[in-house]
Amino acid sequence: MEVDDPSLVEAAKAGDAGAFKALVVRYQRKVYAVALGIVKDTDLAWDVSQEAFVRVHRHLPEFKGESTFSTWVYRIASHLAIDTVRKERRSQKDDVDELHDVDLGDAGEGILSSALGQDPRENLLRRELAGRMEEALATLPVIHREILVLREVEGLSYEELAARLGIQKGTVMSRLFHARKKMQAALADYAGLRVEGSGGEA
Amino acid sequence: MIGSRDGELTPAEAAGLQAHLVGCAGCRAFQGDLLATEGMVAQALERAAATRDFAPFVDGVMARVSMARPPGLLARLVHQLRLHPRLAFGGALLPIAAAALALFIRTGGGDLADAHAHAVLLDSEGRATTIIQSSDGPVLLLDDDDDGES
Repeated sequence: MEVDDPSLVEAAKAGDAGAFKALVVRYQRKVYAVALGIVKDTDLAWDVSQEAFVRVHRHLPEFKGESTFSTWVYRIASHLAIDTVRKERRSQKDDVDELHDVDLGDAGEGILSSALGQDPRENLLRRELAGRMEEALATLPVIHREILVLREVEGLSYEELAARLGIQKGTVMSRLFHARKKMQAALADYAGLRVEGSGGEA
Repeated sequence: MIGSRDGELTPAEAAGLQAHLVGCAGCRAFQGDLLATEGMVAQALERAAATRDFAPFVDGVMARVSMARPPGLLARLVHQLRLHPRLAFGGALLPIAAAALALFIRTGGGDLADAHAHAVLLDSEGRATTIIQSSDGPVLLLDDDDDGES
């Protein structure tokens, strides 16, 4: 029977290395996924996610259970990932802090839903689009990657995002909107080409 | 607001959004795209994580934890002495100076040493004469009735 997180956390706090390792194994992939979404590079994501668990181990005595353990470890991982990107791209300020986008008025709204709804090979296109998601995510500025990852992978609500990022709820919605617009634009290019290609073959 | 979940918008915000969508084809299309690709970001990243071999991950974490452990008292002291060599030199001299002072006092050297009297009674021809052994050498104490001629 699987031991729940609070029990493992208490055991780890008491010095049980096996309990701590069990927590690592339980959350390593998702922590890696969060880190990868923000830092883009697989080796860097590996490094960041390991370091996140080191910090968890160091600060475990201070963990009071006010949030779930998973929320706490994802928060550490996302903070570390953002810090890592900022350190690596300090000279590229516009990449890290850019909020004002080029005109997104014509981002191909509807192409994705149309393509996925009308293409007779819908499942194939969906799989191909899913494969493009990571590439599309990597084209976003880190500030948009971060909020999208926190929303989509961690599942944070608007209020939780506002608290985590230290911004207003309105800013959360605006930033998410821009992030999704950019993702849509990146994916629509691919979906549009595929739809045209399938039309030509018919 | 588009892409919000149940309960995230206030009633006023939800009503405003619905009213807007009625008149905005672009936003309706955008909402359709979000629904069509819902969950795909998470799926993409989790799939990337699934393709990676995590067998060495936890051992790597524990190795980092061991390296990150705070050093013991001796290691911290050595580190501080390396950072402050003058302090280290002074600190090294201190026990040497203390030992030298202790030895100096023990052997009774200089003006600081108290002369200690070691009375030696010499019995010569029935008379007792006292000799005190001081740090400067023996001192002959004459009795009151002794004129020093003997």
